[in-house]
Amino acid sequence: MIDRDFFRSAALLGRPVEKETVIDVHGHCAGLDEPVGPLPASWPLSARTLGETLGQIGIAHLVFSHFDALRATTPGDLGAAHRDTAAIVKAEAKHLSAHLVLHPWFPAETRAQLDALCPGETYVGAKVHGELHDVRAASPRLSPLLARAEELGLSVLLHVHPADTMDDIDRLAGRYQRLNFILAHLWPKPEGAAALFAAHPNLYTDTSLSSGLPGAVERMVATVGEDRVVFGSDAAYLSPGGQFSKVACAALPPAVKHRLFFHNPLSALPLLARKLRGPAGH
Amino acid sequence: MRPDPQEGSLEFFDCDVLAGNTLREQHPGFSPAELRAELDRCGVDRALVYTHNFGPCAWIAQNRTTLAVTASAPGLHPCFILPQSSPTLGVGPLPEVEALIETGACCFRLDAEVGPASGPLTLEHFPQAGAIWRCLEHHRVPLLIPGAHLPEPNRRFGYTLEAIVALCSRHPALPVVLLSPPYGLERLLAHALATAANLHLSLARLAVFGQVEALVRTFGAERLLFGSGLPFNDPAIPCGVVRYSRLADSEKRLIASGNLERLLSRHD
Repeated sequence: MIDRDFFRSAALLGRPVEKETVIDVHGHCAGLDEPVGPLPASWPLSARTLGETLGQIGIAHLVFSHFDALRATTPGDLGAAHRDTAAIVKAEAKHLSAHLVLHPWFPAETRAQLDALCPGETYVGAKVHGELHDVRAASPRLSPLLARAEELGLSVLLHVHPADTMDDIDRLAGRYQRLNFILAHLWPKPEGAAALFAAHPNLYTDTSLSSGLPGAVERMVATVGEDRVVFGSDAAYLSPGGQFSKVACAALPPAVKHRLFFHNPLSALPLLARKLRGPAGH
Repeated sequence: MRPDPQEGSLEFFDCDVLAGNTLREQHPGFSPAELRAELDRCGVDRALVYTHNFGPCAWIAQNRTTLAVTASAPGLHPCFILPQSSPTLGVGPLPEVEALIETGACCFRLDAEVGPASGPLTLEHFPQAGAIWRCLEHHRVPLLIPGAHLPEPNRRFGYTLEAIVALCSRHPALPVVLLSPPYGLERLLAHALATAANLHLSLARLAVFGQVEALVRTFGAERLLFGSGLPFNDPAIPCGVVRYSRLADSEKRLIASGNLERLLSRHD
């Protein structure tokens, strides 16, 4: 019997996925509703707009980091973004959870937020943006924040610094062995990735990337294993339709796509799994 | 294989596909059969195809190979490399361009010549450039210009977006398609579209959320074409951008195939 590929069928028609659950580990938004006033030409940022778009695809749940937390340049901006994150998740709890931005330039405020949060309630993970914040994976600015995230059971979505190497990530994953890292944007290149992932069961990589060679997802699955690649769209920065289609149309068996879209995100984000399954474990 | 066409499915006609060996480390390329399978994987029905070669007057071998490739698999249509040099020293390539049009070439693509004596591709510094642009404009033959290198020229592609806009402005009846411009150039691209009404964009790399919708709102769906950039980009991404875009079905159809069909059918 040949399994029907509900993901590809949906992608070829531009319709929502049926009979499968899609979980997206990598998204962004700011504000529950669109702001009043002039909007950026092509960047609707609100949770409502994001939610409508996810509905067109059939993405059941997305974990986002707040745009304004990522781009905060004052502690006040960061605090406001954290409060807005809580409001968004409270209003859209069925479809949205959050990554807490581990802001290396405001460590005290970030640490206070970590200490105050209830794991799995608003936040199921943390976001480190090495490139945007110009911070290396091994930076002492990050170390105490990562240690606290590990204590809390948060997973970390890591956009590496351009200078970070596989050796850097090897040391990081070894230092925080109970902390799951999702390496954003199909990082690293397949060459050498097999050994890195074999050495560290706490490493995952997400599929988001604005463009890329055909077969990139398939090569990554073949390299690091079908249990270590998770679907991420980077919406509402990137078009989630394009990112979904890249995985849905990949030359992979439907059972493997099911792992990428559903099983692996829950494996990489245990707090999200607990939240979605409910207190009874269902 | 593609599922049977269903209600609501879009027909895609790709304006930007390279067949055969790329001679590049990045991706070795696809045979015609592999290419057909790759397009089927993403639900792309037809494609304008060109091929790669090396050395002086490579366009001769490229166009010959392109004809062979497009004859060997269904749904593949030739996109001819524009001659920018003649095999006869001291003679310009205009006769070759005219001969190709007379024998049925309905579009041309610029490609950078790769060889020890080859400089970067330019829009003006080759023999009979002005006469060739006037010839294409007269026949309304679309010109496809690679744009992945923008905003800065590089050693292979020596022109800027400003040079493309200037070409469009000098030849307002010449349909020009800028292939695979990077999404980060959105503001520059919008200014170019506003300046040159005969400029179109292919959307292989316009993958930012809402970008296609914003361009359609401002300039109309007629200015965007589906192009994948195969084998250097996964067609599933731009396919998904169009299929899941917040556009009217009629606008999606124009972008997916209608605009390219219109441009290809306009020439004499």
